[in-house]
Amino acid sequence: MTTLVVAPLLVWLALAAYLFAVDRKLTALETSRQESDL
Amino acid sequence: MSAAILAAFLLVGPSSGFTMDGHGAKIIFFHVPCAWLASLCYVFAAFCSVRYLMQARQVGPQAADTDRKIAAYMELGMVFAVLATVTGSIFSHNEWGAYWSWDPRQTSIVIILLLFAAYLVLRGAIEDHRRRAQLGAVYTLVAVIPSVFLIWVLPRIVETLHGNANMAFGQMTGMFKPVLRFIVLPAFLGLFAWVWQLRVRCMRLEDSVHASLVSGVSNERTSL
Repeated sequence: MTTLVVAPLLVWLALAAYLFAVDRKLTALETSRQESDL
Repeated sequence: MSAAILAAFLLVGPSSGFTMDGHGAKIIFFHVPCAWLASLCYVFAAFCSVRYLMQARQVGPQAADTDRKIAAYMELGMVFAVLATVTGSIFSHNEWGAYWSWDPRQTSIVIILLLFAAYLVLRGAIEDHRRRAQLGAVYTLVAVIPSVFLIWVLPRIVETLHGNANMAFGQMTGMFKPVLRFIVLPAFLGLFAWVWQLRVRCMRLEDSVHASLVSGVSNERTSL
């Protein structure tokens, strides 16, 4: 039962961490692009 | 999503109303939202396609952005349709004894997958941005008609292994239905919205980089 709960939780947390990293990277790129446009 | 996973395993007891024992039926908590989101992608993409075709006369950032939104819906629709097929096959193996049995629901998801794939192929085959966007929007509107039939009509007029489980979640008992409806589906919808907006932002950046590269090359040519 513990494996059943922990395995999908770990997969989800890894995916969430990856998505957060993409989000932050995108925000940084958008900011630098806006600054270079100015 | 963490709450959805915890609720699926801790709030809901072993499946009752299913042939399989233990916690096997809980794959439904991942299969149903994926199938649901794949269908929803078509609806959203079709809505955006109508909007795009209304905006298409004015070449501008708004129309280009609507095109990106359609593409993001179709890409994610493909991903969720693949996930629904894989999780559905596992459920089918455990519940009905075979990974694939050409049930009308299973056949319809293959056709839906092909419709999503055809959009991506069409989009990848055309270089010109405007033409690609126009054809993509028209294709999406044409493809939504068989999709609506395959998703909502066909499984209700022919006998399927899914039985009355279509949308009514007929076989589920106890906490299965409330957890699915009020925790898991909203969680997946939130995840979908998050990934979708990331994809749209990625496409915006790709297009802006591409545009500045093209203008840089043309400036170099004029200076030469």
